[in-house]
Amino acid sequence: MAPTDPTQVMDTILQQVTTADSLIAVANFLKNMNPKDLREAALASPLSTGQDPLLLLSIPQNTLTVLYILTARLAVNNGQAAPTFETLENFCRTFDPEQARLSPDRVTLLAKGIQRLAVSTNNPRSAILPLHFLVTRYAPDPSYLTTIHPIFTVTCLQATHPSAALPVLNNPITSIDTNLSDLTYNDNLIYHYTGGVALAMLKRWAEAEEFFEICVSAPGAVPAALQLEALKKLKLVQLIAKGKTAPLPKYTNQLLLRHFKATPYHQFVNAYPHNVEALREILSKERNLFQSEKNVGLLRQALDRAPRWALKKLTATYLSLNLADIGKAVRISDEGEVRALLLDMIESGDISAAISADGSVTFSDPPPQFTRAQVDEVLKNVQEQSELLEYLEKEMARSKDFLSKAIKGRDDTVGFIGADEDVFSQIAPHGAGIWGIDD
Amino acid sequence: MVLAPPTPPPLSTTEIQDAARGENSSSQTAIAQETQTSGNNGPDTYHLRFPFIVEAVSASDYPKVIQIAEEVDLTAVGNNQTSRLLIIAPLVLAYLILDQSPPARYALARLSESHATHPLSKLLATLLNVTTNRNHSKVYATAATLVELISQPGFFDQDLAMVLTKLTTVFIERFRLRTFELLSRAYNSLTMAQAENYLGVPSETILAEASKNGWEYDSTSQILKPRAFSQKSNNTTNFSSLSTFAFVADSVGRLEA
Repeated sequence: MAPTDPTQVMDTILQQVTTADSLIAVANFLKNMNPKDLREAALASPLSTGQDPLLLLSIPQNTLTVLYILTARLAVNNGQAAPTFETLENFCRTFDPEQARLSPDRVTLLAKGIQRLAVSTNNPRSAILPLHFLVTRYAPDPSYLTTIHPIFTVTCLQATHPSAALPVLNNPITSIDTNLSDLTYNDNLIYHYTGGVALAMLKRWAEAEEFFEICVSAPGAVPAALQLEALKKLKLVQLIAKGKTAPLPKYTNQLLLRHFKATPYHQFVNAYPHNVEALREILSKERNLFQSEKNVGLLRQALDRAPRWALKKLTATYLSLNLADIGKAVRISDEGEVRALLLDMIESGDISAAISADGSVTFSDPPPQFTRAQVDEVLKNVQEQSELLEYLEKEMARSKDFLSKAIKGRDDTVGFIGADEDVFSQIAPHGAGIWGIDD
Repeated sequence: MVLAPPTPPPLSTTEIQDAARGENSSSQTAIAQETQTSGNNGPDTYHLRFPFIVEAVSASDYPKVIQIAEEVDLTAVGNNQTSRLLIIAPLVLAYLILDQSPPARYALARLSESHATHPLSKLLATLLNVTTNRNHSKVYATAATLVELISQPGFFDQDLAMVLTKLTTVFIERFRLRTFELLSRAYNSLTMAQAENYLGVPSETILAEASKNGWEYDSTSQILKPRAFSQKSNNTTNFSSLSTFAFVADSVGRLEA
């Protein structure tokens, strides 16, 4: 008769995993053990001798088994069984990624368990380092999106620590492999949305804009609520960074834009930047909504920066003006404030101007400022990006999905496949790249 | 709609501080017990790692100060020990030295309510705000008040006081230098009174520095005429190096491939 005592079952598990002839055998054994609840109870238990099985296992050599034990312990409600953050961090620093990849669902459970434990102890900060090691070490390279990514960025935000997310956010996602990680559609949305929020908190507007745009333009049959939230933040970030919004990629779901137009954010965007009174009125009238959606901070920053875009427009028309005239044009009565605004814009490189002691301001074209090293760096970057693009294009061009759609398109009509796939409509008969890169 | 959105986190300063206080106040009992325990067992993590920060400050390696402080802040247990200020205060000043206000703001926002109302934290928050808003005269005044506070005999940690004094001094020097460079770019001419306000030093000091940098001064009208701050060999032709040769050869090779 099979043992039912969890400690005895744990003895059996330990004996099996330490004598198995391959890692695949260990993975299959752990995954297929039945009944599941007895397996989990056993994995969360000590051995029948009372000893902790983790003391007998090596993390690099027995990654899979330790992973199962830790996730089982994180899942039990008994607080005493929960591993310490030191144990979790040690595992995440030293586990063998290749072994862990044999059980991607368990890795997801571990990440979720770490986050949950940190939140339950009112210390989300303590989850950041373990999750950082997990997310940076698990995938073969940082371009892969995994289920750990959104959990990590959400944790950084919960801990009010956006800068901790930067090392991960700095690596753009270009690869998806559902064998590597049990990804869902929402993982991509949540990661890019929360990544955008972290970057916006750090005032890295260009990067935040990119992240929000990726979330907004992720293809789907129907738009997600999160995409609408991302669209609101995207528009506000664009107003803050550039003073105007930019058109969305043409593969963005049109329903999203329709929903956005029905919100007061659309009115705010339309009134920006010249009608400051209208902007204040919208902010005041819809304050409750903006507060509940946590966008008041971005709206206030956009409002504070509205005068600078009006000032920037002046530089296109005038060679010089005095401070009083500038103040009238941007509707700031205090000359000291106008001076401070000019100084701020000159410092950030938004305009090139020189103020004189008599209060006159002369505008000029910004002088080019670059070093040879910067030019070399840009060239190197462009080369790397071109290589990556070429590689991605080739990978996509030989994928089964693409080939079947391309053949279908060629059979049905010449060059047109569908409204949401017009990116493929550029295929020339000889099969040149869809980005126009000649073979 | 497929998914209800997660509650977006707070973005404005007020929202962040409210959320941080709400989180910390509910854990104070548990943390207070932990604080007592750690106090009974000797120096805590913050005390143990502080010497590394002192070393980095002595070496004027401010990115290293940030790296060490951030790591300690992530790994240390307990939020309510006053010793946490050993890490957070240098962290905030190091960020200000490097002119990175947003992460400094969030470092302060992560403090518990009891720490946030500490005179040191309040002064750092004020310094951060006036620096972000480029309120030049208030930057110098607040920095002076900060130095005055940490120089008092009753300050809770004398080693921290030394470190913060050095960091504040370096911050003011760098801020002043950045302001001087900005004035060189942004002004054709400015009055001595304006320069004193921007730089926070008396006219004699301004004149000495101005003449070193090729500014002109008309003592009758008390007008300074800045000269554009020279960029160091940005656009001059340097001799080619082996690395440039390797880069060019590599690029040509890729084109040919």
